Amino acid sequence: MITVRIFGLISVEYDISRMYIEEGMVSRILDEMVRQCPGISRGKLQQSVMFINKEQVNVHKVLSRTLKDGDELVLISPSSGG
Amino acid sequence: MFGYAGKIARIDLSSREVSDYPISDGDREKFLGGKTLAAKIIFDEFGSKVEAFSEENIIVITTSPLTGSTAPCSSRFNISTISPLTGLLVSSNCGGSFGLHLKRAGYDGLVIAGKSEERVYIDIIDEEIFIRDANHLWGKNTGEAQALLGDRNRGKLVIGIAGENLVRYAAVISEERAAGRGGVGAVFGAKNLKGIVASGKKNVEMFDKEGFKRHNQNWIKRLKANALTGGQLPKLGTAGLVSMMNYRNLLATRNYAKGSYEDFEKINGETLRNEHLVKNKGCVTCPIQCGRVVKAFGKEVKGPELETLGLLGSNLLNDDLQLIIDVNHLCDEYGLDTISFGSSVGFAMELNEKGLWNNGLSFGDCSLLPDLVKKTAARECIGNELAEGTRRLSQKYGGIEFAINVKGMETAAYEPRAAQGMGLGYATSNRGGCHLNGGYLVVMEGLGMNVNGSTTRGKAAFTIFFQDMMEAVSAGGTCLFTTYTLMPEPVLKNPNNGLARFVNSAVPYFGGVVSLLHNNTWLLGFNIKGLLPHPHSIELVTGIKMDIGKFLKTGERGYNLERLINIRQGLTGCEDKLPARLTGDLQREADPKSSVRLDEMLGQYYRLRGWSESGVPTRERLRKLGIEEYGL
Repeated sequence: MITVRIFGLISVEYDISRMYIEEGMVSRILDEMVRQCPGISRGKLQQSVMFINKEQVNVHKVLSRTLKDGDELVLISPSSGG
Repeated sequence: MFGYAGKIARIDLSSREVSDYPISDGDREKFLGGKTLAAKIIFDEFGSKVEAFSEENIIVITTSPLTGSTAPCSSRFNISTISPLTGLLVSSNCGGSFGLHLKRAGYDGLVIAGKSEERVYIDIIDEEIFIRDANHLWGKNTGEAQALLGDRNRGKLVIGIAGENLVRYAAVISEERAAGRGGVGAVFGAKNLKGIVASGKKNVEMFDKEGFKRHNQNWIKRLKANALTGGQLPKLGTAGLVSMMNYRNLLATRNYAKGSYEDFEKINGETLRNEHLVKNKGCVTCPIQCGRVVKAFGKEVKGPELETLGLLGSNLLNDDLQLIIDVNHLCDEYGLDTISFGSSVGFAMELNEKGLWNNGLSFGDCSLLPDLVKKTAARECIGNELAEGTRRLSQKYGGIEFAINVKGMETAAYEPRAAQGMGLGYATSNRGGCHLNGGYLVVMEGLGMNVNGSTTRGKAAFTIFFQDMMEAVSAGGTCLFTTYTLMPEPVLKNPNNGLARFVNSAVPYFGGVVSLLHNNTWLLGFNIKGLLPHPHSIELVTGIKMDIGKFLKTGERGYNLERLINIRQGLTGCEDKLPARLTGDLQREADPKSSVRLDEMLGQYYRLRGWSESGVPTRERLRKLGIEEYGL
């Protein structure tokens, strides 16, 4: 399973913080998130800052990348102000 | 002049004499208010180096033209003095409502000189100033002391037990807000001054009231529509940054040995919201409402900010959020800066771990923290040592390479090895290891925008630009969060689109353009109200002709003047540095760029600032800024 962790405004607005999704391409994982979270859109997910296994990635460049069992996908809304 | 109460009072606690401090309209136009005007007063008052705890030191409390004006986030006031932590100038900014009340009482500022023989507080009512006995307040925490000062509708600021006992990072507390950094509270204590109360009925006249009202409405609308000031900050507070900082290796962890914390999720903004938040709140006239109300010891109190979650959380390997909330509240009550306190405890833990100081403190074992707050404030046992801060601890016990301070002031929660510009900002900040006075470039380097934090390219120019801009915003009197309108929304909201990626990758190459504008501010002789509303606001309130260029120049003037005060206090360019851990040790072994490469940026920073190779502002630069008479 892939662990998907969600932080920031997107987590608050859609009340999601963690999901477990079967391995597959990033694109399919995002689709599955949309299916499981009513109201959230693919576009909204793709506006997040994304990390795969703690490395920041550009979502458009990794859509066809396959994540394997044990991988971690993190989505964080852009945030600032401390 | 419009926008000002018109008077600054000089209060001599030694002689108990009160007089008007001479400030001209020319001074107001040149230095505006806040920390910049305070720097002018401090420069003028001292002929030579002054010790923080000496009778010669003064405390300058200033408001700004926008204070109390109803501009968004404009209830700020500033306290400047010589810091007992750094020996240099410190300016500590605070929200709440005191600034507003001080202006209504008829004063733009106070210059507090001398030292009282008795314990006193200052009471200001409609321009009348009384120095009153404070024996009944002494030994009281900040909440109780403010309650004892009576009427809730008056502006109040007090020190806690830490300030009374000259803890070098003692804060001044106003309502629940803190002028936290640099030990301004200890200087109050050294003068036997417990606090100040102010109220009055004076109305400050505005140059263009109707225009100002319209401008404010638009400004507030923009702040509410902005993803950060209208979304993240009200909903998650500054704590909302913890997760992003963790993934970007920016979260101070284990006394800055690392930039990420395995248990960050237990102390992040989301957990604070889901498990502890009662409601959010804000200062007077603030549409952002970033403050958190949470529960500690059974009562509703102010929640921890991001800095506190870092320094009392990840930096100590402390994953107990309720404990952090409790300790944050205790620090406010006893009057301690949570950043310097947390960093001092983290340093003590590492000293103990390395066998350099057998003090019984260990990372991850934080149950002693509440007791340490009380002991530090009272200067009892180990607390007497922690009260001195990391620099003095390292002078006594060693470990200077991992005593995480700059010029004696402990750095904030941003680990700069993943943000080169933030590293340069810390190193050059006038008040020491402060992220805000340092220019806060980390907002470009991953916290807001997505500019490469590993590159040093262009960072000197942008650091200078933001240092000067934030100086000017502070002098004008609004919260620094109002500057988030500067960040282009499309780039901020969608960091993955083509435009955002282009802008983020191109920004470092624009250092030259930024420098050009910095050196030729006349090129910015206009206003873009949607981008930087502050100059136009100041113009509408005061009648002073103000544009972006003039605004930035005011900031640069202030930054240089502060630097001159520090040089007179004994500062040399050699002290524009970071602890060896941050410049010499890689944060991540696999990343050869994960240390701060200060040597690649500092020389350029001096050159672009128009300073000498040893970091002294040149006469030519001062002449350009209209302050040649301040040259040393």
